[in-house]
Amino acid sequence: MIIVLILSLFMNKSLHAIDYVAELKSSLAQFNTINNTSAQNQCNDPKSKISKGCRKRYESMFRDPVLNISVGFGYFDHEAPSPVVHDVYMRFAFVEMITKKPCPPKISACGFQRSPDDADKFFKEIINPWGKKHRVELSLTTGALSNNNSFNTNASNINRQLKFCEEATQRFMNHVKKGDEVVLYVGHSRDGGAPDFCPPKLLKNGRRDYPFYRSQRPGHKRMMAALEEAKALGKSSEIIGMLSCNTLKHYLNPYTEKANKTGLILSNNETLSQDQLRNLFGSIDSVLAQRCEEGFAQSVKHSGFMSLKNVFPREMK
Amino acid sequence: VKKIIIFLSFVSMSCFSEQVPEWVQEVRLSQQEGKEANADQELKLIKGINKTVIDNLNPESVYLHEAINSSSIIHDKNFVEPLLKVAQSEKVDLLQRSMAISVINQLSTADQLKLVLTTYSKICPFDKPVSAVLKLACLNIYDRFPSELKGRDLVILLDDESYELRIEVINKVSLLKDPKMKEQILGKSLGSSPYQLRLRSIDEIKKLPTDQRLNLKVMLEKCKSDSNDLVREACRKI
Repeated sequence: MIIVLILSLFMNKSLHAIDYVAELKSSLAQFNTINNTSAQNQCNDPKSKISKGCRKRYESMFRDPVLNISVGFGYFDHEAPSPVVHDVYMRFAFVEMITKKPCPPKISACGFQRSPDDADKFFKEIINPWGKKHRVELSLTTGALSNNNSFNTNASNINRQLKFCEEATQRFMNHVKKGDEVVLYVGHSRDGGAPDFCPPKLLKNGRRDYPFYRSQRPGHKRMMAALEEAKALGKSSEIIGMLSCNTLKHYLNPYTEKANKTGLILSNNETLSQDQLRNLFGSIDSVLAQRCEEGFAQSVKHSGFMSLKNVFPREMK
Repeated sequence: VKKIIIFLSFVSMSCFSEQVPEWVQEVRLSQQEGKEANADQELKLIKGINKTVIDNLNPESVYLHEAINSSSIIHDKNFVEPLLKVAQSEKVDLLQRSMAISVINQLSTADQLKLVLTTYSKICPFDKPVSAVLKLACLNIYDRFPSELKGRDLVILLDDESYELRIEVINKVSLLKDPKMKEQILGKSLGSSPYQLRLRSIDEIKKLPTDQRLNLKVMLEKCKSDSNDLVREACRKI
């Protein structure tokens, strides 16, 4: 009995899920219980009961002919001695889910078609708030060369890895600058230094150099510059989701300052990689289903720590 | 009596799964981000459940999945033997077996590697339409067994439906000893999609000695007029 009780602690959340596909699949059932009040097809309906905030957000999001969604998989190294880099596994599982055909019941983040020659691009058509077909383009950015940190950082690969993750950082920031409607990040927060697509800077004892990340905030500085550029061009994103740990604390104020019309999805606490993946999937599913306040919040509640800030602003009601 | 015991177990499990003690949550999180100052202490705490994990690293256990996941963070070499039994058991599904192998790969010592490889070679489904994540887990074991990597497996994976997996193949080419096989794989990937695969292939070709590069001359010439700008530019720079 004691054994059963102790192991039952691990029933709801596994500690270190390599099996991200199973993790994502297991969360699909929860989508059946979500409040599906949606802006889809609602903007031509004068009797529509959706909130003004929800209607406005999706009207604005679908203003351009293409809805662009950008997902950044930050360098998700594991605590030593494990060499696992999670983001590669997470991306594998995520792609498997979003390209799934036919779509599972009540799921919208699926049925994407892969670009024939670009591993990072996916397309699908959905019905927009005015009942018309609308193209969705999804772009993925990954910074890790492989899922093995030892391989990525050994003497013969480190330069290639650093070049690769720098290019990934630039690509992600370009998506922010050109105002992709939805920008989402999973990975490490580097205690306020994220987004980070590169292997961690380490102390002599092999631990991550958090003092460096706290003082220099390399990814954050680049993100702020990208947000400022987007704002100057009048192209701020509709939604930015930083789904890594403690992002409410790290990014709410600076992001609000640089992008005051952008809705933010932020975490109140530390968040497991599998929950980040579920929240990523939930965010995209909600955007594509054009869910309003309650349903959207339900779809990103994995780990229970996510906050929606300004996604459906009250002043819009 | 049996029904009452089952009912009580169920009730107890429900209570526990909703009220996860703080230390368990802390240990989980210590694996993810920061908190490194306390991680060692927390891991000592969780090590107290090693026997429980070993007992459930058993093909018959209903908690096998949780036990495999737990073993992957506790890092105790005593898990290797029961994990091998799981990996070898036909009763366990392919995904769980490969997961077990993946954990053994992280835990095992040199003298256990041959046994792991024997088990592994029986269960890795490179030519089957199964999850790309599973194939990736299988592919990774060759980082520990470079001499056992078969070029023909990599050739098969270059045609896999998953672009991610095709790209991952290039990371393993440097492990191959046979220069002809290396050329074959790099040549094939230079003519394959996606463009990211071709770019990675060019990076690997740059590492080849001149005589081997010459064998890929036709492909490299063709690549100078590739449909993708980045690939074209990279080829012209070789």
